[in-house]
Amino acid sequence: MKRVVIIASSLLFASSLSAEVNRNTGCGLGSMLIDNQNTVAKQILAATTNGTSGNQTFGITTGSLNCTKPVALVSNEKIEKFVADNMDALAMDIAAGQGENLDTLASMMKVEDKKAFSSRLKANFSKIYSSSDVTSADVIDSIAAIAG
Amino acid sequence: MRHRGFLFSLLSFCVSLPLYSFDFNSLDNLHNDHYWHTLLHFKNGESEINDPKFFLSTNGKYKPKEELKAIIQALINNDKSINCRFPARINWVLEQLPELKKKVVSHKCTEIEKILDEYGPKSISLIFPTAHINSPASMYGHTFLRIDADKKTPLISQAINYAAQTDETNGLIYAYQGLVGGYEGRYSILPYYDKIKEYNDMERRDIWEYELNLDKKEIKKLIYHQYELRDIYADYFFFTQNCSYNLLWLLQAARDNTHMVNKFKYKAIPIDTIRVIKEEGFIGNVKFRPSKSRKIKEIVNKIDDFNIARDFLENGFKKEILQNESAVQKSYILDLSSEMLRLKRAKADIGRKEYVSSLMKVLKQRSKIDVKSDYKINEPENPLTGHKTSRLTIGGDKDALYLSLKPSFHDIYDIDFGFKEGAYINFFDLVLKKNWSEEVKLQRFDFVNISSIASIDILFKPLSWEVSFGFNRSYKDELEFKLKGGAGYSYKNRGFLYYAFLNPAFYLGKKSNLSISPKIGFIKNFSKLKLGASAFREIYTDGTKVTFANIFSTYSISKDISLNIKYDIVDNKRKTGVSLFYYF
Repeated sequence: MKRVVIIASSLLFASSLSAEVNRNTGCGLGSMLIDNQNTVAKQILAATTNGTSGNQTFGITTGSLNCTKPVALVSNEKIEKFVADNMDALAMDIAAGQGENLDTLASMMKVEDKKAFSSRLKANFSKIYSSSDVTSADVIDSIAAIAG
Repeated sequence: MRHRGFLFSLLSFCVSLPLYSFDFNSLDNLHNDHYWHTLLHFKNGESEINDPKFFLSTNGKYKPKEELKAIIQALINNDKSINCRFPARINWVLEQLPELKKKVVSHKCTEIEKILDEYGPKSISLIFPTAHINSPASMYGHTFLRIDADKKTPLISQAINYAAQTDETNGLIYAYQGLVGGYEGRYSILPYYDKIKEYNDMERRDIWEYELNLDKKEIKKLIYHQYELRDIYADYFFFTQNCSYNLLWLLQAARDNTHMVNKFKYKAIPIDTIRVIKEEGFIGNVKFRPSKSRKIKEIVNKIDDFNIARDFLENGFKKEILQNESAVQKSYILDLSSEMLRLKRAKADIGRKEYVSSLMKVLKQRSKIDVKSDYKINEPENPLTGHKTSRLTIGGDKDALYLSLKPSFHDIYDIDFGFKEGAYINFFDLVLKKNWSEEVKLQRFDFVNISSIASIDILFKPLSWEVSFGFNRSYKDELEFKLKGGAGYSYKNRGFLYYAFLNPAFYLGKKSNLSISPKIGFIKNFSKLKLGASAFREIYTDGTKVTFANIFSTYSISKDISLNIKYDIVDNKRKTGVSLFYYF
């Protein structure tokens, strides 16, 4: 009976458990997680995961390992990794002039006047993101120059 | 002569070391100490850790006494190799045996002291991502710990996550292995922002953050123990020794005299583990981190003319489309656009190049508008306020008495307070029936039944669906195997959630049979009261047609006791049933 129950239950588990997550790695914008498996058929199969959401693939963050280093002095490894891993969210915050990613960066850079920092970055958005190919190192250098 | 002097000093150095003799009989019952068992993950006569590296004694998995002796012996021998392997064990042993402590030379692990210095952990939170939109399965959820060096920058805090280690992509193999303990479970550490991306952004799940009231000493103990487990595995079991359960060991190691692990025998559902953690007095402040879809809904509510937003979203994000809008309205539409772009990209609906150029186009416009967005997102009920996850039901109607047991989790008749409305999943739901004149009979046993009623709105058109399979006593009083499922749509208006499904079914009893049934219904939640009704007409391949209808109301007497009244119609037969739900 136990075996029947186990097999029956395994039939219900889904490939969504092992979350086929592709990490589109890189240092630029758009380096984000892609979820290719959000189809209803797979959802129907899905059942409890109790947390084995297959986040191992996700856990392996390349961070800024393969990225060019910024030249700015304010930078350190933690800041490089944070900016590389959160490029898009940070761009959104800078454009909006506020947000948790921007606040976090300001704290990491030990910025005292966060308000002034945010508005200067916002005013210079087009300079920081001058092209679609901008890398995290470029972003850090521009931010350091602007916040200077 | 000089040589001899050197040799002599070398010799004397060597022999001066392990001269301390320790009386092992003085240990008494120390090996049975609750905290010692916690450090060894010792439960029901053995350690749950399967990695031999976790034990110093070859019998350590089964004999806490031998493991204790081995550690003490290693300390006496000044064996420094254990310093970074077992920092928590060493600390505790030396605390218990002050005489030994005086004699032991060095027992600090410099690596871990460096980590503590560098990260400067100040507080620890338990993180709970709740149900995935349109996926009741994810209701079981996941929990992990977050270690904050600075409460103001949780994004860069470290998350301690316990998970099964596998690259398996075949879901069935994965599930089977997970049930029988075929994978290694390991702890890992990664930045919290990565977990937010995974749950909040990509899967659109709300996240609850429960701050734990651990003091400095307790935090240190937890980190010491976590450090002991850094390269260690235990067999992973979905239902019992899973992610949430294994965090309990860490918390027990943080605070002595807490008993949480023993409360879980057959299942450890994440929300139940949080409840137990709360009962033990760990939980302080609670914070809510809304999912992307909540934020998007809130932005949509603020947009005056959604046609303009749609035009902007669908026609290349052209500046001119928004030219007649106020600055505030522009900011809403632009914020919505960037959120939607990210969502589309996360689902691979658009390519990276198109995504980046569109996002830049939107954000450049946004950066020129001097409006601070202020989205107030209503906090839903804390999941801890919901009912417990096992349910015992005693009920009856004019023909029979019913007794049912549902080990997990939440169905359409349960009050949705603290749960996700429309997301229902149940395993091993058993219903027994006793007619006045007959023996006890099996009325129904569902291996699983899931129902996902996810309403459509202006932006998202998710498919609602349901599926169940198990044994069921038909309306003709015959026991048969039933597999039923289907899909449809639902819509929410003024708090009423309406749905329409088309459900095919397969039956296997004395004869096999197929059917199809169109079904409509609604549910409505008040805080302590739930109303619902549904009707479907089942058309069988043999030509029979039967109409089923049902109206119900559930009233919450207390958090864990509810009263349910049901009015059922099967063809021309009508009956009223009353049941009492008890959650435990």
